[in-house]
Amino acid sequence: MTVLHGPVPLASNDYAERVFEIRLIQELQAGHWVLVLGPRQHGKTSALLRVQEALRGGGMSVALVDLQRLPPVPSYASLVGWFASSVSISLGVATPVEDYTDVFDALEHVAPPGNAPVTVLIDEASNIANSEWRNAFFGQIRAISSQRGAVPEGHLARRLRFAFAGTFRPEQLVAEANSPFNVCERVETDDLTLDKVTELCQLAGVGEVQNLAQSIFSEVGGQPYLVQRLLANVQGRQDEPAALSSSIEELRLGQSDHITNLFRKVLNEPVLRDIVAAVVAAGSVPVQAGNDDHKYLTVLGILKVSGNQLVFRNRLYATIAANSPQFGQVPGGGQAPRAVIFPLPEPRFTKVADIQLREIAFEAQRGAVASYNAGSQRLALAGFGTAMEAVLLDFLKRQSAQQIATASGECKNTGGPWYDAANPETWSLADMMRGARKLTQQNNLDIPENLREWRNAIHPSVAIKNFQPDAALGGEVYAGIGLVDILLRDLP
Amino acid sequence: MDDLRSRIDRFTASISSNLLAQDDFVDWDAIEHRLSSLPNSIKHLQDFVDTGDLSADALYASLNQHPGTYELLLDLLAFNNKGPQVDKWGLPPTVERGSNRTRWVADQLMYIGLDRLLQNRPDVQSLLRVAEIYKDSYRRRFRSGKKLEERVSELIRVALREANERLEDRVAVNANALSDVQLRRALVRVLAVGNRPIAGIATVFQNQSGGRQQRDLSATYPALQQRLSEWGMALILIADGQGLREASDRTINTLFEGVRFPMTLNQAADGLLASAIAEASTGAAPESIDQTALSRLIEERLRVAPSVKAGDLPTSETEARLALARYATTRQRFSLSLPSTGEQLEWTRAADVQEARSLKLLFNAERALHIFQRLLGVEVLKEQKTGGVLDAELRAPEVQPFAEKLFVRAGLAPVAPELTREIGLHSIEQAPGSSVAIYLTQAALDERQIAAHRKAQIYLPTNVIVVSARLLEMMAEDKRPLDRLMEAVLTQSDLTKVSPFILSNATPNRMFYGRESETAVVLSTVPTNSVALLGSRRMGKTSLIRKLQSELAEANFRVFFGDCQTVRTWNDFADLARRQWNVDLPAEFRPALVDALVHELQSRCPDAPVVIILDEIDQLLDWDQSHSQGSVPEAFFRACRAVSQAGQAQFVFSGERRIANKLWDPQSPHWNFCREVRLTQLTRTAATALLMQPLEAMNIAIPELDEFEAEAWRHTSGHPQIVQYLGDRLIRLLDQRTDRKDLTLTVEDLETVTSTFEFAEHYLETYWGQATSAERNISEIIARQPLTIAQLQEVVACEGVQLDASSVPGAVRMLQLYGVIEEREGELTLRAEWFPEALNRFGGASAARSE
Repeated sequence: MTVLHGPVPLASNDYAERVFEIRLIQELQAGHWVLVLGPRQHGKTSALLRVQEALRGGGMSVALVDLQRLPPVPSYASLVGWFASSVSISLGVATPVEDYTDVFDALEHVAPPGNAPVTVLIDEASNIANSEWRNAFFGQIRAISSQRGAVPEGHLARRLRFAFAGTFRPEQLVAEANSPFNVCERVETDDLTLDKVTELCQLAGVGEVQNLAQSIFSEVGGQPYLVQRLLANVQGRQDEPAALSSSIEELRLGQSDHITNLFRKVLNEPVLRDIVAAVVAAGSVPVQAGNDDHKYLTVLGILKVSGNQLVFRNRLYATIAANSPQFGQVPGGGQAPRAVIFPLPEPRFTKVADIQLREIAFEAQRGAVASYNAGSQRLALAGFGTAMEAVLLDFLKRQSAQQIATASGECKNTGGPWYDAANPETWSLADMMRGARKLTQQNNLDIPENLREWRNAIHPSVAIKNFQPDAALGGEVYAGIGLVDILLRDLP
Repeated sequence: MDDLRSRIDRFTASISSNLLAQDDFVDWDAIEHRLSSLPNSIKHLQDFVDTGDLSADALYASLNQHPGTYELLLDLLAFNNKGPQVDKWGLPPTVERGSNRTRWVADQLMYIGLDRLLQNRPDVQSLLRVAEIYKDSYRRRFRSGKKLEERVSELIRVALREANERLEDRVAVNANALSDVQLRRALVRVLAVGNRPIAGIATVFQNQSGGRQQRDLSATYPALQQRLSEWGMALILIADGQGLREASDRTINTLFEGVRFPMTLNQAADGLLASAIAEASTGAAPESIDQTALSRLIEERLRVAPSVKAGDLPTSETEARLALARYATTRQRFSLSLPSTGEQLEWTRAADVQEARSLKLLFNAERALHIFQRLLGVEVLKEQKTGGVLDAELRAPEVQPFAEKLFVRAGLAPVAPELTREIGLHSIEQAPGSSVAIYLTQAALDERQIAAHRKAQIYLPTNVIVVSARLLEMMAEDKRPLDRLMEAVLTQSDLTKVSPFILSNATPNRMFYGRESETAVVLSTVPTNSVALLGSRRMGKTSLIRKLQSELAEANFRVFFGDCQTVRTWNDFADLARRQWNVDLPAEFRPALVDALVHELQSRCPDAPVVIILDEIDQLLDWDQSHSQGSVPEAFFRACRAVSQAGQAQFVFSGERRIANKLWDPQSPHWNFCREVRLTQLTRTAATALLMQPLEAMNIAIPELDEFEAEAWRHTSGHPQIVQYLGDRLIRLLDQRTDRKDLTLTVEDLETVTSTFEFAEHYLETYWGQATSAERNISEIIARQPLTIAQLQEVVACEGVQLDASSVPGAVRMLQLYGVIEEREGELTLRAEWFPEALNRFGGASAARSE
């Protein structure tokens, strides 16, 4: 059975052994520390499970700790205690572990006696949110590495071998001087080969193995999750090629969490978005020496290095990006494919100080994207308008009474009983926009009037004044998400 | 041996300093003659150039008027109008007046870039002279070759005459006497007495020494001698030139061991050639077919017996003794003893050889272990027998890739995954850190089994090397038994485990090379002053500090070492002092307490001066700068300075940007606090040793030694981490080979490693380290061309680098510290010479420019 969620179980036949997995074992058994970087859903966890099994099969002590499972902890000492305890449980020792302020001390408490190596595989290594704790945790692990050169054989510092896995920027996760990643062999996850995809097709029992494998491979390369997903959609269907086409079409429309999460990560950092947009425009961009953004895009998996150029990792990603207005392309009318848009990631909303308004703004635009993807442009525009209103309201609420007084001087809808000049919550959207423009020296901030108008099309009476069928409002939707994005960028 | 040495010394002393005459390089007469034969065409072309109109139309007009100038234009663009080359590029050999083709040719010449060459009205005759030199270069080789050929012919003629004056049977040149045509081609002359070939003369002239040249000397000619020996012929090799002078001792030794009569031109002229001819015709001829048969008999006998006597051979006593002696001298690898009487040849370790042979028939674990231990010359630390299985801990040989101890199991069980797993587990417990464990057993693995075993090693915590009774026998027969074992290690191992190169940690003493001058400066400074070791990441600061620790201790200093990698606050420092130096300090540490801390350390050993080594101090200095104690800024560093100036203790700090900027800033109170020791790349000698010695210790052959070393240097410029990275990648390349016999690394292998994107990326990232984007930009600018600092400031301003002119010198200084650039004769130039090529591997300018 095809496995789409979580790691492929150890007993599953649907697991295709990967080159990087062997390399990981080889490096660990040679006594090296390893950094395993690769896209999400690229088989890292499955590989770690298998590495653990293989090494244990050889009689080694191996612990696998998933930092994603780190519960809320009150202190750094509790974090270290939890980590050591997880190592201990994974090693099958289950030594009770108290809180520790030093990783080495804690590991010394749980490591089995003797001279044999103790391997600790840390999955989702970027998952310590508190940056001070994160730096301390990895810094202390780095210190263990430094110790290795100065202690005798058999000392725990020499016995410990670490592998860190995840999808992150190693240069940003931990301060450079303290980073254990600098002393690691870097192993990057690899895509499945066509042969492996063919093998999976055979295992899945599909009819036209070669043709199907070729079609899947040419669309998604060897991206293991996407291969499995397409296979799952084809399995058991009478017309396999048609099922595959429809499944690919669905992916091209961005209808998958995998796609959404990937592109959202890219959109989260304008510099990444710009690079991807450049690849959309030119087909490739030259790889720059020392460019960490380029490297990160390959770790995320959307791009890959080909020769000395960065190109899309597979045709699917290329198609989606090319059809997305967020990467600089606005599809034309007629037979042009429907554009794919992605919600803006939550960190883009951090300028919105009020937590409730932030939630409203974020969810409204997310809902807008969902509405668009479900085929309703008009509702999408309403969502973007709501997001804009929440952002503006938050901005005004952050101002001093004197500034509010200045802003309220611009209000026009002041006649109603609800209106309170000192409280922006009582102002109409149009007045909020006028007030905000006054405070932000209009030229520095573009508060889009269009979006307010499009938002009003949620009212049938407004919509029929200059009627456009829902299906014709695609352009407004592409512009809408762009306008919200610009507002968030420029808002003080 | 002494005779060999003195022969080599005489050979080396007589090597010609220059084999080539001046006109061998450039035939000036011919060039001037050619130029003087074309006065009109040159004048017409000069007239065209002097008009200043270098358009295609003007060229067309000129060609139309003076078609003879076309030939000169082809010369200037390095096209030979007499060969097929011109046609290949679509250009005609001549042009005609008024032809449409001439119009096209004019356009084409401009397209190629003729206007670039002729801009600024150059002197056409001078340009043509350069073009003629280029054309002449093709004749160079033939010119010099012909002269040497003539000289050798004359030498042979004279030597034959001299030799024949003293010989009864006349020696003559007679190519037909040697029917092997292929062999004949390798010789310049075949010498024979009648139709019996007695010697072949070959020549080798080398103006430089490189891999190919070394291979010729150490392999090609000894192999030629071997083949001639089958014909009963000696090889007379006339070898000369600067390349011979530069060849390594080992290469020359091998040449002399393998070739019967090597000599220089001078030696040949001084009578050595005549003597060699005479000796070849009258002395004992090289091994003949009969002697080959005798050798085979000796070999067969030695394969089963501990010795072979002259009387055992089916020939006369004298001939038999000579055969034994010849066998011993031509089998350099075997450990054989030949008494002065020459009547018997025996294995030096006859008992071990015999015992190993008996193990092939009837295996015994104890005996196997003890032969093995004796052959390696190491001590058995512990042994334990359970059933038929014997486990032992041995002190390991002190060479790569062995650690301190070696785990050995001896038994009869066939090699299987469960067994190797068990041996691996025992090894990591009993010989921790060892990348190999040994399994002594009766049967050897065949090729297929070795391949499977090697693959399985990846999963084991240590390589399990199967040493069969036959391998023990071979070890016992070998002059260097360890070499045989090492061959097995290389053949059977996952080489990732045995790579001696350290990529991510301080280098241990066994891999420490160079840094003598830096060490000397530190040792001479610390009695009176503190030291700051400045260097970029991975330049070897910590490795040097580890070495200094022991050197200082030997020099009777009391050394306290602190790794400040994770020390980011004063309190972190206090934690370090408590933990590592066992001192009592208050919970809230303040820099004022440094004095008390030093006092405490001093009191432990009042007679020894205290040196405190703080590695990676930058983060602590960062904290120090942004926090003050009372109103005292940078209180920690100030306290250290006060302690140092009072002579209570001295410090050795290591760090990078932060400490460097403090010490380089004349406004800083710490400007002249420490003596600065900059750590940049290793010297060429040290860097070469760091790469080559571990490879040699692993018996990995490098035939093109000089070229290999030069290429390694070019791709690293001596950066210790990049050198080790290169070494490690070379080992990994070998690991991919299925045929592991006689593992060899060539210049092509080095190219395979360095041509990867991964290597270029590693090179740049390592050199740049913590460099800022502006510093990276500057390194790229210097990579394009050397500049003075003033020129650099102009370029920086023009190219929009985010750096004001006054900050350029600081950035330059940092790049000098990183070993990326250096100042040479007033210009800043690249020290890391492969930088431009590394940058070219990428598709665009560095990220720095786009920031």
